[in-house]
Amino acid sequence: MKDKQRTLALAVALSSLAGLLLLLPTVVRWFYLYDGQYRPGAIARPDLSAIEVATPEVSAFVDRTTASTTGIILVDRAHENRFEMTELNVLQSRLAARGRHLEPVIATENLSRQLRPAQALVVISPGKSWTAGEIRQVKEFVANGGRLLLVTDATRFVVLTDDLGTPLGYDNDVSHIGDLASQFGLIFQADYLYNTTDNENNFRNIRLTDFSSNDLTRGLKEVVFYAAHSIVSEQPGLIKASGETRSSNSDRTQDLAAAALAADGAVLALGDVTFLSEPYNAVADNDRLVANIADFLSGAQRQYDLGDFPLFFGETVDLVYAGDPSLDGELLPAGSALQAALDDTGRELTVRQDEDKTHDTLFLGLYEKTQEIKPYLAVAQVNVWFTPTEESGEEASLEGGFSSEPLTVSLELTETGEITLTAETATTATNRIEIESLGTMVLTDTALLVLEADGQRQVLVVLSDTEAGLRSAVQRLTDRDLSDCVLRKTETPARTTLALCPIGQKEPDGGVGGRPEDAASRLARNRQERVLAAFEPHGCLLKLVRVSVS
Amino acid sequence: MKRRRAFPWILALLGAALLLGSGYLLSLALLPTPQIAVIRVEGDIWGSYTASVSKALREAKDDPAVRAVVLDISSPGGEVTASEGLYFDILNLRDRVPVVASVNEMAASGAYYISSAAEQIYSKPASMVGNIGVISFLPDPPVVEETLITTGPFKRSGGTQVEYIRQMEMLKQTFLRAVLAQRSDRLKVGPETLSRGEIYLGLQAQRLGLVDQIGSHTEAIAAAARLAQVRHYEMVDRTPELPEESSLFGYSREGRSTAASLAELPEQLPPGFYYRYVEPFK
Repeated sequence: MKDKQRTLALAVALSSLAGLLLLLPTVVRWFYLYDGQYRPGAIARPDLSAIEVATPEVSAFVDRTTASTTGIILVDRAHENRFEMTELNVLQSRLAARGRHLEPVIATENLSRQLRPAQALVVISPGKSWTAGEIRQVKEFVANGGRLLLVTDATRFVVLTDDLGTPLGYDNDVSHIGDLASQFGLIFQADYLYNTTDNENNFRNIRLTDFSSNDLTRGLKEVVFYAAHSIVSEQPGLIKASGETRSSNSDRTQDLAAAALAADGAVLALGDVTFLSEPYNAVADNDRLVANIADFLSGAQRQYDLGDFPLFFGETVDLVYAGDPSLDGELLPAGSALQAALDDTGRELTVRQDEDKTHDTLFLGLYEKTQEIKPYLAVAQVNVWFTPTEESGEEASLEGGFSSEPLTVSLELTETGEITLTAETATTATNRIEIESLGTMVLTDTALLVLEADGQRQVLVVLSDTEAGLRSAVQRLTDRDLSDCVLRKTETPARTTLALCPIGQKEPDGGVGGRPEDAASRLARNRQERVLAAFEPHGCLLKLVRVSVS
Repeated sequence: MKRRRAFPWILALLGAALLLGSGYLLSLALLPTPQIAVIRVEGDIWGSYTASVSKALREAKDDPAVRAVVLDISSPGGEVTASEGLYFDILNLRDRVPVVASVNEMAASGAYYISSAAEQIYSKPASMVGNIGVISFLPDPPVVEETLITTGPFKRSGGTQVEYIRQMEMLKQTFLRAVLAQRSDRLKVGPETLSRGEIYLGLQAQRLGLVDQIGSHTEAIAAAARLAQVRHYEMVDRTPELPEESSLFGYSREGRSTAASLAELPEQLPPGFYYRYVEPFK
């Protein structure tokens, strides 16, 4: 029995030892290979349920307006502008509601002429720079009451490449609008505004809520611009960025404007064009801003002058023949020409016997019969002395002498080839016109044009000494040719513009008075010119040389 | 006499040696050498390629010998869903083994997306890391055609352009949340800064908390071993075999050895959203 127990114990011991020996390498290997056991912690999963991207709030703006006047708004298409006209559909409809329509400017050779009847000019993302001459004409346009809208957009760029197609850089619109904008103290930056936290579903769609008080920002609480350039201006910005909105150039947040005004509110600069078009116009108060911009463009008060005939008139004009001149072959065509000129600009001309002081009026008459228009001449500080008799004069001394008064000199070539000089001073002339600050002038062969603002009414007086002169004066008006006229403008007692013009135009063959010159007259004129060439003007002293001309 | 007494001891010693030998062989079978699996993620992250990588990750998870995985990343990113799929695959893998990402030239956009799923991220000082965000071409506005008829205005485009941008914003937020879920305790910048989509050098990324350590691939492997509590191990390349012709966006993988060269915007970017870094010029 004891032997059996001893054997069993030995067997157990040996088995255990064998097991130990068998497992020992595994244990040793485990400790050789491992430091411990990897226990993964809690592995977080992203919480995507809270992701929310709001749908942009759509504007319920309804534009209500009735058009009482009409006008033209020009859009620059002459500088490789990087936009489509369809992008202005919303603006066009707002303008149409205000009686305005857009007209493209395809070429700028006659920019002044195109600008003359326009109320505003819109320049969007040019791809070609404005020339100095073009800029000068735009400045003049703005100075005369025109409105200017300058728009750029950070997405309107072109990638420049070399001949092999290797990209060289970007050509953006601000480099082409800079020369024009800087004339008005505006600088478009070559950047874009962005906000990574408070935006309209994308970092470049910035919310703008900081507005300067102005008609353009009337009714605005928030607008959204899409990748807008920032604008630096002399005045504080009109629509400014706030909060964490930054410039891509400098990453700064201060003093960033997306819209600005200049030139006493005549020039509006915008850093974005996208908000003008659908569907972006319907976001926030963008639609209201578009309507305000339409009001801005339509509200220009153009200051027109004699040279802008007939744009200074309203839609209806009365024509009154002052002093009952003869409506002959000279005058009737003049009336027709006036009618045509007004028709071209959508104006209506009505001939009346007597003036209606509630209407814009054009007086056409002769110097000798100025009674009914005397009040207008008086306001313009013009006195007309006219005696329809032979003018008296005396021969000026040929010994020389000095006259401080303007002379009217006429030469006559006699059949014997001698020259007779007749000179008369203005004050000795029977027919003369006295114009305050200009002096006294002989009114023979002249036309007087006086434009007066009588409250809201425009009055134009056109006088001459003959019916032919009137016709010539009308021709000047319709041709807008006052280049050789004496001009004077006054603001008191009323705003008047006055032009005293010589009558007649030189024909290409040298004729005078608007009629073809016959051979005899030409010969006489040539001889006269040779004589005149012998004079040596010396201040007011004329030395006469009597010559014989064969 | 003496011989008779020594014989049992000799027998015992032989028996012990035999048992120890058997035990050693048994230990080799029971405890294979731990493996650190290295899976390279190179070039664009896209459909077929992602399926191969995903399979490699699954196989690593199922193989008891694999004790850690190191992702060797050199990629400018790629398709959105491909990146998201790998991200979740890596999270699943981490249920069993630690995962360490080791960035070579670049882990941008979608490549950073998947890197962020790793327990730790190593990069070189000049590695390019970050570029969090989405990129896409806007679809064309809807048109109606004479012969191609659809039953809805957005059947072809998928939605309005405004809605498309909203969806991109949602994906951007998804990307941010995925990164924050794994690294919010280590990031030193907020989501508004990450939203800018900047790409950082590895050195900068470490200071911002976008990566954990600056170090080599070998150091990343050693880190994976430490996480796995492994002292001795063998490194095994588990990068899936890919056909040479495989390409994304019409590129051939041949001749494109660096991730930066792959960052070129393709001529034809197929419709869709991408978590991908593209070069500035095109």
